Parts: sequence; C-alpha cells; structure tokens
Amino acid sequence: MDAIYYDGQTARLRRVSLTLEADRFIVSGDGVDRQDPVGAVQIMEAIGRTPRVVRFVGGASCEIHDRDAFATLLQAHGVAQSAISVLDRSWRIVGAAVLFIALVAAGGYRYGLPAVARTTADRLPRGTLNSLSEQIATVLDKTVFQPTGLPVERQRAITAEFDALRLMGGAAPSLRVAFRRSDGIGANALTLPSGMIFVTDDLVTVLKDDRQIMAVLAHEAGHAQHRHGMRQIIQSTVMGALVAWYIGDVSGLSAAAPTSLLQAKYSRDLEREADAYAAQTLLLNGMPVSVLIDALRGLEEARGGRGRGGALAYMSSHPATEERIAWLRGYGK
Amino acid sequence: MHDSARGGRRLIRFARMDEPVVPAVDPLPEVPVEPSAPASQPEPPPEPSLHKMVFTGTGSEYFRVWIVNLALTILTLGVYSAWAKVRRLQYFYRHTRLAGSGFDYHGEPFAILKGRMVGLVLFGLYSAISYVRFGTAMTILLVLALAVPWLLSRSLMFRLHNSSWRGIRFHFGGRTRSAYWVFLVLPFLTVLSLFLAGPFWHHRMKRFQFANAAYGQTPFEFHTEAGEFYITYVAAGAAAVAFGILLIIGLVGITTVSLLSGTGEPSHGPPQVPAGFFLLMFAGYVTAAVVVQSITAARLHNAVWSRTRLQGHGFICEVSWWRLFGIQWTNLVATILTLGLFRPFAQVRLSRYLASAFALVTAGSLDTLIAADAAAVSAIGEEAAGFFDLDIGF
Repeated sequence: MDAIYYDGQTARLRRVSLTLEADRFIVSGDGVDRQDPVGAVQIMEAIGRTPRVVRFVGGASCEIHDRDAFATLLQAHGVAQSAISVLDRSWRIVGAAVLFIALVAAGGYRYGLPAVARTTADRLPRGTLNSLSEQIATVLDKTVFQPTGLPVERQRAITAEFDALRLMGGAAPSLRVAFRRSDGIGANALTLPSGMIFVTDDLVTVLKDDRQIMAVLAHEAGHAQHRHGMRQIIQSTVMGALVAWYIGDVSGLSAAAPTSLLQAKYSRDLEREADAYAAQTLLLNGMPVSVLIDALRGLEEARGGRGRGGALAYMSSHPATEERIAWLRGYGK
Repeated sequence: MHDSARGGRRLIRFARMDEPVVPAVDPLPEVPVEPSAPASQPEPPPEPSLHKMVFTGTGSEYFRVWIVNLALTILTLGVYSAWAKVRRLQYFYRHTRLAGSGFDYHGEPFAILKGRMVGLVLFGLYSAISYVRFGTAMTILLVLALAVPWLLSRSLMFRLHNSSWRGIRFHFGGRTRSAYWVFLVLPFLTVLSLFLAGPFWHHRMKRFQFANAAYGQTPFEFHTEAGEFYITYVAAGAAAVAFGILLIIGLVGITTVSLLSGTGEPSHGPPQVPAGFFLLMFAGYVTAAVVVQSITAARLHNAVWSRTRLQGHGFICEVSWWRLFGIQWTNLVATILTLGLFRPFAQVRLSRYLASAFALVTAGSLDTLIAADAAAVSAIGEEAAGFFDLDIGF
C-alpha cells in the first residue's frame, strides 16, 4: 500500500510502498529499501480520521492515509489494535460517555462538592478561619461598612441577650456580635468564618421586637456553626476552576456567569440550613418559630420589595421570603 | 489538502503540495543523484513557492475523541488526563498539514503525568497563599517566582522537542538565564514602569520563544520589532474604550426607556432595575473582551510569523481579527448554551481558520533542512506551567 516515508534525518518526503510480509514491514521505493521486524516497529494508535503513523527505530517514520486498508493489513497479520482507538469509533460508546459525564457532573454538583466542602471546612484549624476572617473584615470596613450609630447601651443589651441565648450544637467557634452602619446593604446581618456576626444599624431599628433580632442572630449563628462561610469559599473556588477549565475560557470572564448561577443554589441550601438551625434554637429557648417568620416579614418590608419568585428565584442567593416562610411553617410539625 | 491551487495572489507560484518544489542536492549518500543533472552546471536560482496550511479534522470526529478522553479521565480520577493530552495533541497535530505532510506529537504520557503532579503541588501552594500568615505567604511567592521562569523554559523545551514535521523534531535552546530575565526581571520592571513597558515585555517573551526555536538544526530567525506590539496594544486599547462608550450609551438608553415606560404606581424601595440591564451589561462586557483579545491575538500572530525566517524560507500569516472575533464569539456563546458540549467543535473551527490563514513560502528545497541531536527534556515544565496558565503561546 501507498505511504509517505520520512527518514528522520532530512525534511525530504518520499512516496513509498509499505507491505507486511511474514512478520516484517517492508518499505520500498524512492531510494528507500528497509525491512523491520513488526516487534521493532511502533504502530501508533488510530486517533479519529488522522493518518496512521508507524515509527521505526532510529527516527524514521511512515504516514499512511488509507486507514481502512492499513487496519485490514494489520488484522490479517494478527497485529493487535489499541482498545481505546476502538472506543471513539462507536457512537454507542460515545453516547454512554455523554450520559456518564452528565451523571457525574450532576451528582458531583448535588452531593459531591457540598460533601467535600463540608468535610474540608470542618477540618480547617481555628487559626486559619480567624486570619481569613480578619482579612475579610478589613475589606468590609473599608468598603460597605461605616462605624455604628447605635447607642452603647442598646448594643450592650442586644449582646447580653444573645449571650444568654441557649444555642444548639456546641461546636461553635467563638461567636461575637459587632454593630456597623451600612448604606450599601441596608437592614442585614452577615457572619464570617471566625464566628464574627456583623449586624447593621438598620436591622436593629427595623425589627422592633428584640426576640426577632435574636431570631436573626440565631440564623447567623447557624451559618457559623455549620462553617458556611468557609464552605462557600471552598465551593466557589472549586466550581470556578472547574467551569473555567471545562469551558476552556480565554479570559476567565465567561466562566463567571455560569459559576455564579451554579453557586446560587448552594447559597440557598445554606440559608435553609441556617433557617433550620434558627428554628431549633428558638424552640429550645421557648420561643415560637413564628418569631423568625415575623423577622423575615419585617426585613422584606424594609427592603420594599415584593416577594421574589418564579424564574428569578433560581438566580437569587436567598430563597424567596414567602418560600422560606412556608418552609418554616412546616418546621417542627 | 488538495486545494493548494486556489487563488493566485502574490507573485508566487503555487506548488502542488505533494511534489518536491525544486530538485535539490540531497545530503544522504544512499539517495541516487538524478542522472539528468550534471554536477558542473550551476543551480538555477530557487523559485519561491507557497504552501498553504490546512486543518483536515472535523467537529463530529473530534467530539468523539474528546468525550472518550473526558469520560476516561473522570473514571481514572484524572490519571488518564496525561494520555488524553497526548491523544488530543496527536489528533490536532496530525490533522494540521503543510506541504503534503502532517505534524506529529511525541510527548510521553508518564512524563506528562509526573509534570502534572508537580503542577498540582505548586497550584496547592499558590492557593494556600490567602489562608496563611504573611511571612509564609511571602516565602511561597518567592519559591514560585524562582520556580516559574525555569519551569516555563523547560515547558517550551518539552513542547518543541516533542513536536515534529516530516519526521524532524523542533528544538528549543533558550537559556535559563534568559528565562529569568524575561519571566522574572522584565515583569517586575513592567510594573515599575506603570505598565508602559507591557508591550515591550510581550515582545521580549515572543522573541525568547521564537529566536531560540529551531526546526532540526535550522534556527528560526525572529525579526519583528517591539513597535508592532505597541501599535497592537494601542489598537486594542482604543477598541476597548470605544466599546465602553457604546455600552454606556446603550445602558443609559435602556434605563431611561424602562423608567419612562414604568407605571405611575409608587413603590417603597429603590426603582427596580430591568433584568435586561444585567444581561446586556454581561454580554457587552464579554463581547468587548473577545474583541480586544481577537485584535491582539490576530495582529501579533501575523506580525510575528510574517517576519519569521527559516533558512531563507518564510511564512505568510493573515489572520483577520474580524473573522477571529466572529469565530471566538460564536464559539463562546455556543459553548455556554450547550453546557460545554460544543467545545470540541469550537476548537476544530478555530484550528481550521488559523491553519487556513497560514502559509509557508519556500525558496528552494526543504530537503536540505536536517535533524539535530536532541536531549531528552523532562515534561515537568510544560505541565506545571499549564496548571498556572502562564502559557505564553497563541
């Protein structure tokens, strides 16, 4: 059969004829005449419809364009084919591969990554959480936070009330409450991996009943107990790297949108977990779950928003308030 | 690969790709000298001929190679990725054809696997920076700064050493000292210059890459000047600014229209921003990034290759930034919409276009290009660099 021969010494292209006789490759024509035992020749595996390549000892090689004829020739002489090159020729196997990858991706997203993030976050030393949180707190104080305008007595009263709260679990990092004013995030509270809970002035003024403030703080304590902050950092790092790698992104830009969409679900799951923790805490301290529901209502009104739902709910980092309330109503029944 | 006779621009005769361009003296003794060419007669001056590059792969074909690679990589928890890389590169190299011959890749999967492990360790160190003490972080950065230039030059060495065309391997002879200059000192100076030296640094990286490369024993000559890089960066910057202005006009327009058309119903909170606002902002941002990237890539690719020489042979490279943008943008959108399944098709489309814009102009026979003795190069560099995405190729 026809082949192209390169001697490995010069860039000269020679048209030769390649045959397989007994257990020898014979290359002849255009000044070439060589015989090599089959065992000494490297028959490169077929990849897609690329030409077949045969490499000889000493750097010479042949390129064969008639793939089918070459395969027949090898088969006739009982030379084994690579198993993997057979895989990508079968559409059935390709279909199975697509299905397998989809299953692994869905399973990894639903169960795998959250489990890995939880295990990793639970094992990180306290010192790591603290130094990371200090960095985040510095950034927050420079960007979204201003010093609090709440009277010191009010701050002390809330802190004392929170300290008196009986909390679930016990594996809590050192929980601390700090007050900040923020025009950017309004009535809100957020928790750092170290257990530092930031409460905004607006939240304290909007929620008239102190029990509601305790309900929100219990929700935040839930984030801290389950190390949600750390879990989110791990999940977003892994997710970002995977999405960028999979899309084969040029600039890292286009990976940002799918990543944040995928992240939103994790974030909502964590909010539900924190809600559950808050509900348990309330019951433990002799308060009804409805206190948290009232707090959510109050915050929702303060934001002036109608309850988000429908398609936008998937893009939201918190579940829609109505959905959370419905879930909490069902809690403990 | 049969279409070399298309289009007769330039005063260059199109050679049939499969025929030797000019009969030449062959250095190998076993090849008989043509009897019709008496040795005493002087050689006629070589006639230049043009060999267009073609990529002969198709999307549906590569899709199957890609999906099987991906599935096996997952099944083996990543170990197969080294073998997958060899298969991927062999697929692309062998389908890339120039003057009747394909390229080939010779990398050893075990060498790549070893490199991936080193890369993983370095990546782990890099990721740990934000979680450790300042002193430890600085030590890690210092280690990385010292390791990366060496790894990058080893990676270029590994890549070229394992690439071949017509049975002859490429070669990279960049010195470690130059690698530290280009990848450690120059970036530092670039920051000090408030990035005014950025294009100059990029030029030096390309020069390091090209001027130290060889095909067999024949060195590539790099003749592109730093001015080309400055022009390209200014053009890309101008495009970015123009895009920014257009985007702001568009956003202001949308917001105004949606506010004016809003119902008179008073609301308590801040006015609702339409969802289209964010979508447009994101689309505009991504489009602008692809435009800037396409202009830079196309212009520099052309500027570098068109002025590169290989023992009297030259190259023509005419990538249009506009067509590159069209391909890259639609690739990106299709890849996102298909949850990544379009990716292999996207890669094939890009390869097809880039190959079609590239040609080798030979002056005389290629047969005089001969192989060099090559030392084995460790794969550690290339793999570690790939992990850090410090790859300087386009």
